[in-house]
Amino acid sequence: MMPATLAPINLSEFAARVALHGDKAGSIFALIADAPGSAEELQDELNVFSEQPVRTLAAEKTAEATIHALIGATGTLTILSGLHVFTAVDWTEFDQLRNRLLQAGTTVMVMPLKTLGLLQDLAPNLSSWLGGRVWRWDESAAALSPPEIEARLMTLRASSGKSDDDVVALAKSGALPAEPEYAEWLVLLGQGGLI
Amino acid sequence: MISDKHVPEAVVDRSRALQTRVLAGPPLLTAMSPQRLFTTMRTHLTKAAEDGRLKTSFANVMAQLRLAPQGEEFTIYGARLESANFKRSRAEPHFLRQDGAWFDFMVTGRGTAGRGLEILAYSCEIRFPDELLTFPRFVRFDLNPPGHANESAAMRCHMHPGHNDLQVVAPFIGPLEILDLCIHGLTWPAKQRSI
Repeated sequence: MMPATLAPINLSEFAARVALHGDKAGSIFALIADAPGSAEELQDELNVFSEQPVRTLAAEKTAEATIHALIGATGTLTILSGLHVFTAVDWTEFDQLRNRLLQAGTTVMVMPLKTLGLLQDLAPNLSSWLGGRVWRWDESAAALSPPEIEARLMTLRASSGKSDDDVVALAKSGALPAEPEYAEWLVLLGQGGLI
Repeated sequence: MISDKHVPEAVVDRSRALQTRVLAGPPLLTAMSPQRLFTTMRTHLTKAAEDGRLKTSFANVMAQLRLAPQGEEFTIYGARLESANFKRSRAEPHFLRQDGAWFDFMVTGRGTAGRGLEILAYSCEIRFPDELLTFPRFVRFDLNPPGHANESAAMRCHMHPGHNDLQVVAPFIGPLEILDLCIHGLTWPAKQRSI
């Protein structure tokens, strides 16, 4: 069963939430991310926030081998990725062996949405254990919207007395004023290649 | 850069050589993407908010750190979107340190295939509390965009020690180093020395 909506979260906030939770044996979080390299990026951010050592672990060939690799690492925060390789049998087994995770430290599972669907369908007890500690990685909130870009351009025009065309013409003639704001201005115009 | 026409040519040559030494080539950050740099900067700032080094809240740090990706070029705004705050008004957005210093910044760069990021321009200003009577009101670090006609007449990489008209040659400071300076650096002892 797929949740109707997963709460979006950026990587910094997710890392902060996990670190704030602290070192509790058997704690599980999930971050839904499709991009390759997500686990490594998350590790970098968790290293800033977490007082625990952080390691990445790729899912082993079987659920049992994966859980074996997780346990014994209390005091360590493990980012577990590669779960998309798990079969239906693996998820069922993972569900049955879930209590062994009490011997593991905090585990953060990074997986694509499709894999979360399998986990929820085939490992219902694990899914229940996971509860609401599932978020969808989303960085879009930080990006400037078209109205925000226009508002910023208006500020730049007003403070300089120049138009967008003036700035593009200055850049093309190699006479762009020295201030960093002019580089920013060209970027907002989609003319960053002129810098 | 010393460019007064009344100074000896040898002095101008030495000044030009100094600039070349300060910034010999395009400043590159390897193994980085615009989003990655943005995320890393945000994590360091939010961590500082959580640790209490910043009075600015975690949520406000996230709200004030924005990214404008436009093609290969990008700008990261650190409390600089609404205003460059030329008047240094506390009413404008800024990041506030626990000790009362406050700062904002902007970094413009370009993603280069296989070479990482080139930092094209930056501007970062930190302002000191009014109670510090013997301190300058602000220090600003600037990297001007490359290649404009007057690059040879101005120091591309420089700082302003408390006055817009006063420029001093400065090293290139990477984006995370800018944050280090603003969050952890430029502090003062309880008992300040006289000027």
